[in-house]
Amino acid sequence: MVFSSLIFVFGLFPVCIIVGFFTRNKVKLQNIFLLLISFVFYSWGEPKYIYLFLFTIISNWTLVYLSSFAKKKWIKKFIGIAAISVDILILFWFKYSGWIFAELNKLFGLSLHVPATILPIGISFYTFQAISYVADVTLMGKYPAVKDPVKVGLYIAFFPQLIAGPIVRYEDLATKLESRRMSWEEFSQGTLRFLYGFCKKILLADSVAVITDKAFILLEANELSMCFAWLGAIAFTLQIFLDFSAYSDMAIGLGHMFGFTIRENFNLPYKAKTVRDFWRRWHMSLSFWFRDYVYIPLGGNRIGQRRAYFNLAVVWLLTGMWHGANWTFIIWGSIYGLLVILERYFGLETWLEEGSRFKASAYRLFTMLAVVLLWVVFRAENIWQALRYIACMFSMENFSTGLALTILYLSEYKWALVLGLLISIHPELSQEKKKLVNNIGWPALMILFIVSVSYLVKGTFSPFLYFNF
Amino acid sequence: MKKFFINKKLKLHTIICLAFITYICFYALMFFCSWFNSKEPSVRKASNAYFDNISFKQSYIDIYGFTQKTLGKRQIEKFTIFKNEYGKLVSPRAEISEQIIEQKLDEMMPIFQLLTEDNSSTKYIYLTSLLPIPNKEELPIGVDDATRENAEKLMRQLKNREINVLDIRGAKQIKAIPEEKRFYRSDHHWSNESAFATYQTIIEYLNENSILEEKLTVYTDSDFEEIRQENTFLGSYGVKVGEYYGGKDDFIFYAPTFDTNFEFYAYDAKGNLTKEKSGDWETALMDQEILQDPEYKNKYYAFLNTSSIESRIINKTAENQMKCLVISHSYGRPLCQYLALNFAEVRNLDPQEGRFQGNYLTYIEDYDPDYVIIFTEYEGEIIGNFKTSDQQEA
Repeated sequence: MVFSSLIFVFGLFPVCIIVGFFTRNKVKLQNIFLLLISFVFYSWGEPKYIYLFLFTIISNWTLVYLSSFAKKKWIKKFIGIAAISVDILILFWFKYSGWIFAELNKLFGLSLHVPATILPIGISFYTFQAISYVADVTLMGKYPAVKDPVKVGLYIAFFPQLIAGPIVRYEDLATKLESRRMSWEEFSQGTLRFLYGFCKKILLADSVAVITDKAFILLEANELSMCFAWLGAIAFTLQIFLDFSAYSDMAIGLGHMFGFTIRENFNLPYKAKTVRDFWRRWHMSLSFWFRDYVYIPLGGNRIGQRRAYFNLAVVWLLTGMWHGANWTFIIWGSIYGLLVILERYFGLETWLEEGSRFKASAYRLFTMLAVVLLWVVFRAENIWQALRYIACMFSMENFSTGLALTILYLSEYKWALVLGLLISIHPELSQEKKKLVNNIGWPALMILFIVSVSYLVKGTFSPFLYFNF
Repeated sequence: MKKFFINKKLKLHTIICLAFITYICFYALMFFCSWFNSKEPSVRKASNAYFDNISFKQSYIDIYGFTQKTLGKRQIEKFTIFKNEYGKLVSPRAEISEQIIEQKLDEMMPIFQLLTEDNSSTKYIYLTSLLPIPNKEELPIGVDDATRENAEKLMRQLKNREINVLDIRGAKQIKAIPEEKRFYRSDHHWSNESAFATYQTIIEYLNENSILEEKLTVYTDSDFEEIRQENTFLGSYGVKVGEYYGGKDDFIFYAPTFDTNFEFYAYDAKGNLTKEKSGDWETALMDQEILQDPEYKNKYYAFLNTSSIESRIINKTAENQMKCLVISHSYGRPLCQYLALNFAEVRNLDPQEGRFQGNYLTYIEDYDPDYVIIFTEYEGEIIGNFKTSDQQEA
């Protein structure tokens, strides 16, 4: 189920609110209710994978709980590693096995059986949350094992962030799972945030998506011109931010409504000064996850510069792979890794701080150019398509017809593009500063909500981009 | 570990109980999902059913249209429908190759050949279509439309094949109608004025060229009373964006002021009688329920008692005993109604995909009409399925 669907907005959501209200003083009961609702939410799209999801919850809770009875540390760690291995194996099988076997067959002319697996929705997100819990308890000893399976279940399955993040840590939710209060103030703030994300997704992200889709259709028809290619690439740059950040807004808002605090996931990423800065602002929960559970355990920068670069390379390769089983994601992640390593090697951030404003602006422009081009790689179905698209961005073919089409799309989507751009770079308009929602207030948001619902009723099915991961 | 299992028996039971309860819960959940998707294993379909039944759906569509208008958008439905310069909603068409036109005409050729055989007493005419986008300049910059090019290509091939064409685009009656009134603003259909002008054009053409044995009466505006339902018609394009985007149309038809007596019969694809009416022109041929229902917006369906695969109109006060067969898509419905005033019987076959599935050749031979009007062109393209059984097998 998606938040931006009528079935959620007018079906499940009111049920959640009503039952949530009546159980507001009974945390345990509300936890059970939210867990069950989360299962309904998950199973709506693909019921058969609910068993896999359930297995992930039960196996992780059981193994971690069993590990708490181990007297020796190595046994505890062994159980932890076993639990993580099971998680990674499941993730590998469903996400990568088909692709790896197909690629092996292609590269070496083999005839290995290619498993016909379908990617379970949100598997990368909930698996990472499960691994985070297991690692924190068994390997890092940050907190004791949780006895109550409902709490662990709800931590992994909590529907607001289940399918597309943010990736939360158990420690973020631990106290709230124990005791929380649904205050009117927090509820209203959460509702506003949810509405803001809802409108952002429907009115802006889905609108600019039309431009991106058209650009790739034109590419396949060999009719993509330079100007439309740039428009398409910029539109996708906006779309992926608006789409993903809208999901995070809705998740954070829903969390607030039930008394949970979910971490922010974005901080004006398109205002980044460098590529490293970009990744400190983009999908922060993923970046921090890789930092805490891959980079630092590998030694981080404590062992020496060379090892630090190696660790960074591993992290970025994994970041790319996390997004999907495709060379495009691997190359996308690897190029980001290379850029981050180069920036670090040359001490770029210090150099920019000490340098003139012109240097800073020029590098900021380069950063955005890299981001836009790399989003093309990310969006493309394969490397060949990505290269053809990028070639179109620098080619003069079909210029005149392309210009007319670009004018048409610009004129039709000017408001979505301008507002999307402003929201992505302007601190006053960004949700991270929590000003916009408070400033425009309830009446305006309710009008926008009704308009958004009218877009949904109109029949646009709008899955979130990050559902694929 | 052993100690754990001995001392924590209760916990173990709790785990087993929880696992069991969870299993039961999930089984119930699966049952619910299966039941919900029983008709088709697709959640999307279930969701769509929910969307379709949502309360105030049309109000939300009106809000959507109002928003689009406020934002100054000229396209709806992801660049398939545009507002032209005078506010009509139009659907630009892609260019069609000569080959595709040839194929379509090849399918129709046996019908033309049958109607031009030496021993055939039946006369025929191929009617061209009006074009809702005669000038590309009416559309926003960047929108391409090949309606005119397609129509020109088709006309060339029709002439090459020596098909008897009546080009209504050049008819004086059509030219007398202002361009913005030839089509409904909110619908893909031509207006009542265009249908009536075409009717007059056909009758005058028949009389001037002495095609039929008897001259036919040319009814003029003075023989009719204009029935106008103001601001009631929201057509196929308009329903997608509601009434605030492009506005509603007036629904107009011309009711004869002289005495008439008609019988109307409608048949389905299997030849079963589905509707039977009689009375004067308006009672027998216009769907009164649609006309009188203020909630029903697509008033075009009132013509010829909504959409039928085969319609038969018998004029009991006809001035002759001639029969006319009209093979036409939905544009033909008002046309048939007006033609019925001049013939003893008018039949209409709808050739659109999935509609009339019989053999046109045997139908014409069996019915033996005096006149056949082939009106299968729509915005410069031939639509419909005309393959004979031999062609279908091939």
